[in-house]
Amino acid sequence: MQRYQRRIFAVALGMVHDPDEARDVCQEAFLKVYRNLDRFEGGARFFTWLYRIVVNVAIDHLRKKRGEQVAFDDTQAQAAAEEGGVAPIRLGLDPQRALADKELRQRILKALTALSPDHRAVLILREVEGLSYQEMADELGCAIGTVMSRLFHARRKMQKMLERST
Amino acid sequence: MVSDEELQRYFDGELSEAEARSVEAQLTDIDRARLKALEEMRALLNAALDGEAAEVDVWSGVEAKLKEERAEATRRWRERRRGGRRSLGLGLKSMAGFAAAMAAAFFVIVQPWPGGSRNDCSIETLETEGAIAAIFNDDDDNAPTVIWSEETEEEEN
Repeated sequence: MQRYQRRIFAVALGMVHDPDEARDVCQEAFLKVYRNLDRFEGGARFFTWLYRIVVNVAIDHLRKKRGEQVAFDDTQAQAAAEEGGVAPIRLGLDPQRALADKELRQRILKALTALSPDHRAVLILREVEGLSYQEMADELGCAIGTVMSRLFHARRKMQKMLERST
Repeated sequence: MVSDEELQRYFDGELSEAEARSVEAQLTDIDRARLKALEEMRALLNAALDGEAAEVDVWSGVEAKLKEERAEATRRWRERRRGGRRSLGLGLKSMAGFAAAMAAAFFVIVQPWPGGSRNDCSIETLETEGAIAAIFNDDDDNAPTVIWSEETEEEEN
């Protein structure tokens, strides 16, 4: 399972944002996998199975937080919600630099944090894991139209916030 | 210029081949620039998350938790045994005793001497906390024979 650690952590971090919470989500997911290995049907890819558990744990985590009324800071995201789709402007940031530059990573993650949990979830499921609209709708228990709408707004807000931070 | 919805579905590969061709034919320079912006955002997001993930150790926490659970299970098992739980308690001093029991059962079931029955059987072993089971299955659909061997207090000391 160790070889999946980085990929799984990236998904969890993208969904819950806080690194400590993401680590907790991953650990809970790995423990669930370990305890339920006998339920793994060999036909399915192991990572797919593991990934679904991580996403479910992360979604439960977000729901619990919402239940506890730990409000996310959506102020910045709301401010960024202007009319129009993604702007035809590249930010000029180098992804290779983002991999190594902690400060740049923090800026990107800060923008991600400012999104609502729903927007963050669709963005991660699509951009990091490459799920289809139908798969996302199934995972999140909502309609495809809702997924598309959330994705559209999430991308637009993300771009606006990154623009402001550069 | 294509609509926001079409552009998004095109970018995400959610259009049929015919629809995608139709969108491609309508793409303006501005649309292409928006697609580039979307690609850039995707690459940045992946790089940022991958970079963060590389710095975190998830596994050591999982290992610690599993170790803790195993220790707790062992503690509970010992408590149950000390509480007078009925056990077969074969009292084998060592694995040699267990091996001897398995060998005896093997000879009884398989009878590998000349003229004897040649019925084959498979033997599997199962190890649990403080005990080992040998399971003998013959070819005649009979119920399997199970021999349990548990550790004794003396063996732990």
